[in-house]
Amino acid sequence: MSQPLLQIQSFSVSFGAFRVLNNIHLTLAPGESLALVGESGSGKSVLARSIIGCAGAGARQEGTVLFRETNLTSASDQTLTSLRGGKISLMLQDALSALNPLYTIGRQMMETIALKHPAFAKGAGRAWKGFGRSDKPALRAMALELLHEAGMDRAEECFHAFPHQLSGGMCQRVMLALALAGEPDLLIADEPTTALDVVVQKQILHRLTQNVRARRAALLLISHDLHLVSEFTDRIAVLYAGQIMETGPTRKLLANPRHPYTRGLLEAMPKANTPKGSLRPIAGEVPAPWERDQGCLFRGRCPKALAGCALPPQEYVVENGWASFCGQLPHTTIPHAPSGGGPAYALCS
Amino acid sequence: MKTLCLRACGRAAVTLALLITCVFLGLHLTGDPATLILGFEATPDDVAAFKLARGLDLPMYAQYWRYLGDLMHLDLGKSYVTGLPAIEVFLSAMGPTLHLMLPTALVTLLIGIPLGIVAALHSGTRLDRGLLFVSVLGFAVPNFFFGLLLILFFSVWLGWLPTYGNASWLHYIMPIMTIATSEAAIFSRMARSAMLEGLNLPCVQAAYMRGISRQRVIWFHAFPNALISLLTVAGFFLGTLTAGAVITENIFSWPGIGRLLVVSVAKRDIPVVQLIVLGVGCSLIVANLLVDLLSLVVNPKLRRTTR
Ligand SMILES: Nc1ncnc2c1ncn2[C@@H]1O[C@H](COP(=O)(O)OP(=O)(O)OP(=O)(O)O)[C@@H](O)[C@H]1O
Ligand SMILES: [Mg+2]
Repeated sequence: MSQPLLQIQSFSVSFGAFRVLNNIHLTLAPGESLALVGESGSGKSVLARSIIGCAGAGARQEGTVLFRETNLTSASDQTLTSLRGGKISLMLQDALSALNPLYTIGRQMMETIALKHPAFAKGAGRAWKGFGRSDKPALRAMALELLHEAGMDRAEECFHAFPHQLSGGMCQRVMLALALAGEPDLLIADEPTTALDVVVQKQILHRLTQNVRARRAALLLISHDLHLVSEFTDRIAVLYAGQIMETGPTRKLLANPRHPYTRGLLEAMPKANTPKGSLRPIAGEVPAPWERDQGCLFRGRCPKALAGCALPPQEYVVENGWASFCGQLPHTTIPHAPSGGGPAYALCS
Repeated sequence: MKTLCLRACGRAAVTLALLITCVFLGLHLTGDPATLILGFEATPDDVAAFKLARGLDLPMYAQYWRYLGDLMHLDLGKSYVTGLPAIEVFLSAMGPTLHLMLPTALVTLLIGIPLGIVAALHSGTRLDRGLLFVSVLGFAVPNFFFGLLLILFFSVWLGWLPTYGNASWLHYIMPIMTIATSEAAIFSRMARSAMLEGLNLPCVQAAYMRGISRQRVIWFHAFPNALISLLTVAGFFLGTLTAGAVITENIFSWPGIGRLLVVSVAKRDIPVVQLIVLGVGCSLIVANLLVDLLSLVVNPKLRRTTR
């Protein structure tokens, strides 16, 4: 199989003494879609931002994030700037506040296209000037096309609108259009549809996944909606308090989760046929920064926790490409698959 | 858009009405104008004649009504000192003050904004702390002291600059330096925090995460947003410039409002003082109105209600 597109290895991020992400391992092959799920505050957005080198002021990173051959944690500013919005693009969580209130949608789109679309981005001095008058018609056409691509019905109207004149769904479509402007090989979508109603959610995700598939790009979809995720992704990684709890093929894993946390998440999710009163929220709270140690961070809330859970959790390979980090699972069943035969998305460890 | 403009003008009008009323009440309720003006040694007959001549024997509401009528005709009495109409005295002093204030405002903005932006872009570094030190110094040294230092250095020692009046452009240098130093010191801090706020806006961060270059993000995304929040501060600041000139005008014997105010208060020239208070108040109101209208033009978000 081809070389992985993105390889995150032993990656940690801390703010001061607070370790927000702890020893993350993830791989993403071209054309693959990976879901990253977890409770609020588990570090999903921080992971998304650190991939493009924007973890935040005062963030300390350890480990490597390899995009093809480039190590993003040590890449130069210039390399990162050209990758951002180009080969790797990030759709931010809060769409309305991610658009500049002073400029029309059209202007922001034309700027991004001029700087990021492969057909335009070559011009010297572009990084500063943005675009000239002569580029405008071409940029405009491209912007309208992207808005259509993102599923915007009245693209022309939207082009001339200011951000505050758009609805939440329209803003998200604009964000999608902006993210697609650079024809990314890796699209990271951070809760692209959280504030929207179910119908619009599905429409936007359909557009998004269609575009990604058509170009054989990879998708990292961040969400806490397990139903949505099972519909749109091949693989899933469950994050809790900055640690990966379980990772594997989405449908199989969700049908039969091995980790108590994944099971807890599923039981806390409403389904269409859920009888009233049968939802079981996970008791307790995410451990505070000072309570985080080397052991399994879920043990404080875990129904099956034993003394052994204070040790660093071992990887339990359920099957090829499906691993669960729970100390209670038998650790001998399946030996590590040798490289070559298996899929490239096996967890790196 | 039109309604919003009208609303801004309406606000200004209400403020103006309040100002006018306050000046009236201030002058009539805080003490008897007759004794205030004639002095305590006046005889009862003098006081009665004075009151009759100015309608001070009328009831309060009638006096207020007359005062408003006079204001409408810009008839604010005659100066007790020169006998000229107060409005003429006021306007002849307003000219030099405006001539001094406009370049001062320009210099202040031209120094304050760049310094603030440099400090914001280097926030947390030694440069930022150095600029903080400089601006604290600039603000902490009182105007009268700094003005005198300038006179000592440029006029007494070097003999380069004149100290008195407003005859040539050379006369403008020291007064402008005196006021602009302290104002730019404050303004640079405001510019710094506005720029930092701009840089930390989610939409600015988002532009950076879209891979737009750092320089372009700073100047095309953070800076315009910073300017908009600075605009409000700038209005207030411009309005207070006239009022703040009192000390500096007196140091440099500048024939402007500030100097006129000190002279008129000393001579109890009530009509002139009243007009100066009204005039300074109006300049604040007008500056704020201009800023309100300008932010309607530049900030699309404010236009929302009418589109
Ligand atoms: N710049 C920062 N400085 C300090 N702490 C931060 C910073 N950014 C994030 N954090 C902390 O990192 C943790 C993870 O935040 P993150 O935004 O990644 O959560 P999330 O999983 O995206 O949650 P949500 O589902 O609500 O978006 C939070 O506890 C947050 O307080
Ligand atoms: Mg988030």
